[in-house]
Amino acid sequence: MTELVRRLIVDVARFEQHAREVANQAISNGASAESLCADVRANAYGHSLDIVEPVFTMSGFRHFLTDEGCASAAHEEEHIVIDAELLYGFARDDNGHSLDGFTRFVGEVVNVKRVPAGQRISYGYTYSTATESTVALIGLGYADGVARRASSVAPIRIGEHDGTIAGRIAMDQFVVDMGDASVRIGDEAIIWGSAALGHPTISNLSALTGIPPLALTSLVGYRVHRESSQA
Amino acid sequence: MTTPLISISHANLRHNVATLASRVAPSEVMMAVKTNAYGHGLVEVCQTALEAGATSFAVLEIAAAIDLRNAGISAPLFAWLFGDDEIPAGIDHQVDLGISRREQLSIAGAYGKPTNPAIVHLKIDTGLTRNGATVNQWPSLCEEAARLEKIGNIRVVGVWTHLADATPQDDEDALELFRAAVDIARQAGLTPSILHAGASSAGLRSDASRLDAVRFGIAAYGVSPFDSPTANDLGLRPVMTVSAPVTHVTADHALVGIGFGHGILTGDNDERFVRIGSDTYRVTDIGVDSMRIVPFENSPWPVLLGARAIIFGDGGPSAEQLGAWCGTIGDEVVTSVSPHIRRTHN
Repeated sequence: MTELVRRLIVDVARFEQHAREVANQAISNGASAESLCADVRANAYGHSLDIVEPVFTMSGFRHFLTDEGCASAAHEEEHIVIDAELLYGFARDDNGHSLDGFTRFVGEVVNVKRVPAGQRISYGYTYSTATESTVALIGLGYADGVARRASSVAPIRIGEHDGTIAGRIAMDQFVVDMGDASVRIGDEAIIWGSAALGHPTISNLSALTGIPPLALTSLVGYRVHRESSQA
Repeated sequence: MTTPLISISHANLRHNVATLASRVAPSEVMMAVKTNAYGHGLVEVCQTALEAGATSFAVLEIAAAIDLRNAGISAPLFAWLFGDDEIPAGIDHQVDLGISRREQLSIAGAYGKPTNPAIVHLKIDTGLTRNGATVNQWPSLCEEAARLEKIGNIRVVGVWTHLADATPQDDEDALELFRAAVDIARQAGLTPSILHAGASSAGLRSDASRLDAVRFGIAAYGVSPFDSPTANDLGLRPVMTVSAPVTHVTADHALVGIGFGHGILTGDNDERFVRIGSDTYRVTDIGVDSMRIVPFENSPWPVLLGARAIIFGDGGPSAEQLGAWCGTIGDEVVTSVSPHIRRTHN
């Protein structure tokens, strides 16, 4: 039995390269290589400890700050805990630019409808289509970590096209207004991903919702399957 | 105890389900237990709700239905969000399937057999524009369902929809469309005996929406589906309470050991509070595993190290109040709480 696609894909190759740069920077600023501690609280901020721990180990981190504290607490004074926003790729540079992290959050199109202009969508009928349009129902909701505050504002990528969330996000599903783009049942919908590939970004979602990036990744729900990808 | 705690009150759950069941009788309560029973714990909630008067469960997913079957729950279980290739597993476990499309019906008809037919609730879209056949698709969906039912491979027991909970008039318009769709289903030869449309909001305020069953979700967990009236006004009691200990105290602020890493929602709003005993404290910052609190008005200071702060629930702000502070609703507050927090059922 294959369940609906609900995936958080961690790009471990890019993540490892970034974490190594962060570690080397800390060392060049005077930290000892033995002192570096990676913050993996809250299941590595929702990324999955199982996936992230080897990434940080390979990048030179000797210690981990978990929900229970630091692994070797007797030497806590010797640990340097790297700022989590920096480590997970959300720190902003002097130009306000961030790497947007190393995850892609993906759901599945479970229904598609062609609707006329003025069609009202989802609870409270807070949205209506401006023109005749194709709308796609996605099998993810706020229980999965698509924050309800993104209702009617956040962009979603399906195939080569961006649409906007249409109306209120429900617990387990939401609708995207895709205009005249071609969409099929079973297509993948990207909530956030790689800015370099033109996907919607966590930074943008954070700006739209007022929710910090690491809180967004931490809220990704238990039904969402975490996996790693080199691609 | 030095860690966050989710406390689930089965006494309050029992009270709420019994209250709602008597309010809508003779309509039945098909309790919504999607998403791990709104974060409350699937199997435990279903066992208590059955004792209190729920007669079936809306589970959303086939995987959750199978979990309940494995836990010995034999009541009807209704699922409506699944991939086409999950349909056979649903039929194997006698799960009622919410079906919107011809393709789904074909799979159900191909896998169901007269000895174990697919149990089907056909969905009409009455305006929400999510799942459900459109008005144009509906007659042919019904005709195909009637054909498969004659062969014996499926049994159409229900027709259903989701209401938009916009205005009472909008819901009445949707119910008008719904009744017309039921007429078409009957003309096609179907004999659905379970008509359902309303969830908590419509179920509480509209007699006409109740039909054969109301899919009560959030109200059964003691959270109001409305801005007003409150849950208390409705005679409902909070089932989930989340608390955490004070872990650090200074002259002007303290830390409480719970944060967004535990699924506590963050928000821009400055107006946000927790309770310690009968006193109120303002929350000024939320980190991954702690929140910073300061005195509010005349609340006593310092607070005691180890004192428990109620984040929401019994003895603290309501989930819907916290939702409003965060720009959302109580449903998101309760379902976001991490399943990994220690919990007690009492």
